[in-house]
Amino acid sequence: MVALKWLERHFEELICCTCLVVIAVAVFAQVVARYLFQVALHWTEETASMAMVWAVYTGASLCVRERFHIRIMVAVKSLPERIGRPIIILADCMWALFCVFMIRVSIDYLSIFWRFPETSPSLGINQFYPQTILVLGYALMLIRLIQTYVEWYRNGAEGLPGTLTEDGSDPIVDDEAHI
Amino acid sequence: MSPLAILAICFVILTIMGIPLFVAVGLTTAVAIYIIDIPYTLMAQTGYGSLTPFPLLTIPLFVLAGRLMEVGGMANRMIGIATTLVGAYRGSMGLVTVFACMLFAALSGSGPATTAAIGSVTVPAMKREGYDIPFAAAITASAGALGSLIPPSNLLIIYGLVSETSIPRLFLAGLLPGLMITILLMITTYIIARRRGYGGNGDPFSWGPFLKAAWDGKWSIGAPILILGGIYGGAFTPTEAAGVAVFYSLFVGLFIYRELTLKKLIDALRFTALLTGILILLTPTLAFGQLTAFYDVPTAVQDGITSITENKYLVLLLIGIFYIFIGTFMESLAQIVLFTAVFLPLATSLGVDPVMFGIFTVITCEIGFLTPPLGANLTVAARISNISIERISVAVLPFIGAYIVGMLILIAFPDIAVLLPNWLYGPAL
Repeated sequence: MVALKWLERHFEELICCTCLVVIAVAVFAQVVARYLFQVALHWTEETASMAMVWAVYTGASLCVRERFHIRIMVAVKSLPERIGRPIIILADCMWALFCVFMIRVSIDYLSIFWRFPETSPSLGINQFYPQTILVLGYALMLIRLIQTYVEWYRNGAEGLPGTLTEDGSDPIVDDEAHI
Repeated sequence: MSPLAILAICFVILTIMGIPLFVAVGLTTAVAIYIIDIPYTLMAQTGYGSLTPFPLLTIPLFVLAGRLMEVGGMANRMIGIATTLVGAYRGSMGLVTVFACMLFAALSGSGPATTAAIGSVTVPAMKREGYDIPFAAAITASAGALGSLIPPSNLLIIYGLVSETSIPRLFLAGLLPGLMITILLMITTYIIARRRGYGGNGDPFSWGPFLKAAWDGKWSIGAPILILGGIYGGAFTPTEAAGVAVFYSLFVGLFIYRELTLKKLIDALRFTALLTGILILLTPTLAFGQLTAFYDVPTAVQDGITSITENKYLVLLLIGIFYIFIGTFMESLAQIVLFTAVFLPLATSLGVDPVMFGIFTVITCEIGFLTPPLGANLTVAARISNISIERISVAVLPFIGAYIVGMLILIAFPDIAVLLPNWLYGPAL
């Protein structure tokens, strides 16, 4: 139960951080192999690229939970709360809709790969599997978005739902976190 | 109404509603696909394909390396070197801050990170010397923005990816403008500090302490030498340099300075994870870019602006004003991803070098870091110095002036940016 709870909280982080480590190791291995062992590794670029896509989508889901996605809140925040709140709720509904739309489109896209398998050039794995992240990523985002609302409602439904800070957790949000 | 106008209105309304930008672009793209009636699977296809280019990996790697250097003790060594160099003059701690930010900028690719790394040490030091706190915070915020201009730079990597410009060229081009802005900021600091009579009680410059500080900081100075030397010596690509930087900072933090712990390492990874997540903005934007055959936004903008003026300098000035305005409420990453494709074709058609345009874009983004309501550096500086963003945003105005002067000089003398890359790689084609 404790493990499950931990996983619920850190699932995306776990995948995303693992992918980041994979990227770093693969890129570094490429340099080391070239200069120390005089060989050109062929698997590194593809592995790192796949890990990157997975890192971005799981990271994007993490950003939902941490309210970190880039959005322009100036207009909504300058409105009184009773007008701003319905607008933000509508905005989040459209976000959820977009996730559903992307899941639908990605399933269509993936079904083509399922019917006509294609292997990746250097690793030789079926391209279907790495690309499942499209469905997985948007599904995770949708779940996290719904979760945000459930928690907001439980906490008394005050303020703007997308901008609440949770209590009793360890948010990673950091004001230095800008590109 | 033309389809393009419908899409523009659609995008603006969605954005103002507070929908996350990647969703706003995604929904707009979906509408665009609906109008021309092609399969929606295009969005899934770019959803995967647009994130696989190898140079894109540079961003999370540099973010991670920068974070490891920051928490691993490299920032303190940079401040030590800066103190022995410029510590004796009037307003010395302010000058030290600017100088140390410049040095740290050569390790880090991010402006807010540079502000945090250097400012958390120098703002308290300035307080002790009796500086007005908003002034101290403003120096830190403005000098920290150098992190995005002096190579390596995350913003320049993003620009290079969306504009298909060579990243090594862009990095090299950032060097001289970075030094120019450092000097402008130091002059601003000096004038204000002199007028207010802030102390300069450090020892005058002498070689002994400087060499000692430089020797103490040799592993920190080694990082930019390894990163930039490796790229320009042809030893590795920028992406590989970023990978090497991660392991170098890990090595120094763990075994030389011993300030890195497992907890700090995991936190640095989680921090990088968040920033990697917002790169999802690239996927719908590039999907929209695939529709240029039907919606040629650049040409529409080009026709609009060239009907006002065809003067290269005036056009750059107009773009600059627009960028600064957008930057007050939009993240720099989004600004570059969304608008480069719109304005770059216009600029190049008037004979502006794409490399120079990149540097110009990043300078406007740095002004965006310093302007409320959304100014990342202001937020960081406010936290470090414990005062409100409003108070800093007034004190930072002279420094924004310095950046604007820098931008104008760059518009007038674009050679400052393109001189070094053209010298090393030959003129761009």
